[in-house]
Amino acid sequence: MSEFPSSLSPRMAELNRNIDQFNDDPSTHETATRQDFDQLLENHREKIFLYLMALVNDRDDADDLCQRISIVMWQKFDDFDHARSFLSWACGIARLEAYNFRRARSADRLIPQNDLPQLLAVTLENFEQDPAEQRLAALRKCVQALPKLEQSFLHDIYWEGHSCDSIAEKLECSTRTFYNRMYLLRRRLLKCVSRRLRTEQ
Amino acid sequence: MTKMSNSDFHRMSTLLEASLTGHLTKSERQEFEKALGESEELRLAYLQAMNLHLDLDRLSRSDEDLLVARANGVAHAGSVSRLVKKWSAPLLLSTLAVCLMIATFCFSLFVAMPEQPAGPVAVAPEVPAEDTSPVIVEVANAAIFGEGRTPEQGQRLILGRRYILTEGYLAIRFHSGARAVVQAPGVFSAVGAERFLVRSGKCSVYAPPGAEGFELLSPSAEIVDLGTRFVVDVAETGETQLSVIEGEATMAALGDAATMPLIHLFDGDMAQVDPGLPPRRVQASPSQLTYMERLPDRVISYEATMVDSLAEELLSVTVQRDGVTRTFEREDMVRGRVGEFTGQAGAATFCTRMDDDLPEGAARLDLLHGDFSLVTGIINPSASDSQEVCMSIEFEEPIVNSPGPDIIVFDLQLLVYAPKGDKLTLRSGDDRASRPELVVEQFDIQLNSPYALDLLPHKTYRSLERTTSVDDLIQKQFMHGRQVNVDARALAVGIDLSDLGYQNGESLKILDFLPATEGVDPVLIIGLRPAERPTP
Repeated sequence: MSEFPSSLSPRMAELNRNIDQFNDDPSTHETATRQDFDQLLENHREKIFLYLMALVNDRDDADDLCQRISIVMWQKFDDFDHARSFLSWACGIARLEAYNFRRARSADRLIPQNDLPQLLAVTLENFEQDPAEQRLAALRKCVQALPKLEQSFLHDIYWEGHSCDSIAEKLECSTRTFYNRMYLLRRRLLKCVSRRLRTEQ
Repeated sequence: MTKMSNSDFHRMSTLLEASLTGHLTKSERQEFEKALGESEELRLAYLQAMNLHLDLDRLSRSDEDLLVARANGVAHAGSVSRLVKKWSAPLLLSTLAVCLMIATFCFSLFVAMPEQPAGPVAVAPEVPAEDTSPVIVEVANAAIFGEGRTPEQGQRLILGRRYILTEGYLAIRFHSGARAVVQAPGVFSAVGAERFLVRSGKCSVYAPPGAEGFELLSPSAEIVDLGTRFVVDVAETGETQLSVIEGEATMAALGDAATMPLIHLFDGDMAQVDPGLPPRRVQASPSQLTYMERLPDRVISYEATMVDSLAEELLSVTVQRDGVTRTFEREDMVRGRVGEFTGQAGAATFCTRMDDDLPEGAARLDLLHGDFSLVTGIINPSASDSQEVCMSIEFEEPIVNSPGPDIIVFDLQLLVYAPKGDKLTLRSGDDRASRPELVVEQFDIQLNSPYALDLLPHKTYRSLERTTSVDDLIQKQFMHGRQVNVDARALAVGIDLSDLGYQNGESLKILDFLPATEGVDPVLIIGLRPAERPTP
């Protein structure tokens, strides 16, 4: 089953406090550089998070890694060549941190030490992503337009956190068949969202 | 970079889904990562799917009530206090934090802020009023006159609307649990949540405990179900016959309720009302009115791998066998290969995917039995002077006769051809002399069925001369493949071995196709295993 935290983690609360303290201390501001860094991070944060999810496939781990790599990126930001892609640079850091993070935790799933993470980063560069607000608005309508049975699949998985095994059992089909069904449903949703985004722009 | 074949891609798409919402075994993960490394197309699909996965997660946090009362009508109260995560730009704190422990740097990123104070909010989700209108629960080859589409399972009847059933059968469930099976030709309307008007045609009703009081009306009669099974036949001129199979019902002529004569009927009783006259008992005739508990055994639907909403390979098939609906996965299917074949000169004989070429040698036979493709096949068998059988199919293992469909024939049908499917004439190939022929007049899943899937584009290969044997299929030259420019769907029909003269438990190894008046395009022929397979 996927792991979706239902509330903010204590780590996030600690981070908020740190940020507040930081904002109160103007002596630590390196304003221009920081704003530059902020802006680049803001522009790419969704894709960086997507990349981390693609690597570790665990929301909690991706949250942790986001914090870690932001520190590392800031530490190394002086070395960043502005002629290069920020996303590509960030993915390089994310890749290394994700590997070390997983290894340190002796996670059963290590980040593959082959070309795959690099290839995913290249694909990510060309991955078109509409603004989140627009995507979610379109997705909301597409979900509501689904037949009830398919809505119930999404409800059980995303709203209730049920496993695919249990849903497949209820449907009296194999889990593999249910995966296929979910894959087809996901494709339909992607098409619907894409169509809405194109027509409602 | 190598482009993945469609079947490989779809194997990977299942693993992709498992990686998002389920589990991958170690070997599956290795396989998936290897495929990701090799296919840009798959990597893009993975990122798209992951992006949607995250968006659905966000939606579940921000729109808690979006799907409330969708899943089995259950409202999910108690979850309204969940914190709402926001990732949107205006609310994101993208500033740097001092990292006090290392006394140097700071950071910002992905900060999730609670939008509102934690704590329960007393919001009662709105529960829409329950829809009590009757609903179609089963469909078998049904067509309704004047409707732009075939009736579908789950479709609700609009109260007061007149439905003219021109073909097939429908099972309709009422709010109380009463169930009516109507068969064509017939005209009916739902006139209330528990009132059903049959203007003409046959209708079988079952009212389980709790559904007593269900009313069936005809132009001349009113029948009240008192907990029973009965069947009604209404003539076009209004004469109404009622036969009670079990339980009790009352029958009255329509009119003033105070003066209306009414008779009680019990198990085995039969009565009739003629327009304007009181009901009268008639001699029961068992063959006259046949109660229909359920729709005929048949192929109900099938699932296939899809490429851009076009079907390619069969994944599972759902059939009704002896009244029980069951889904057969691939491991429950037995494939059949061509044993004999004859075809005319110039006839389209092989069918392949658009991007594929005709294989050489014995691999050509795999087009029918080598995979589960609904697009590839060996098609258009036709008669010859010397051979009575135009195609025979030998199954990998004997097919045992069980109730309902034992063999399923999938036929590629162009949208411009007969909507009911090509007519088939079949016979046992094991015991040709003593078993009867079966003529299949129509498919279970026809061209206009909502369960008939659109197929991937395909090519056909025509023969240069007459095909007289399987060796000809393997060895002869065929014309270059040509794209078929008309869209096609996969039709399906279930064959019950009882209809080929087999007793329950007897088995068949070879199935013969006898010459058909029109072309037949079989793309997949499978047998179904009878026994329940133990769950691994």
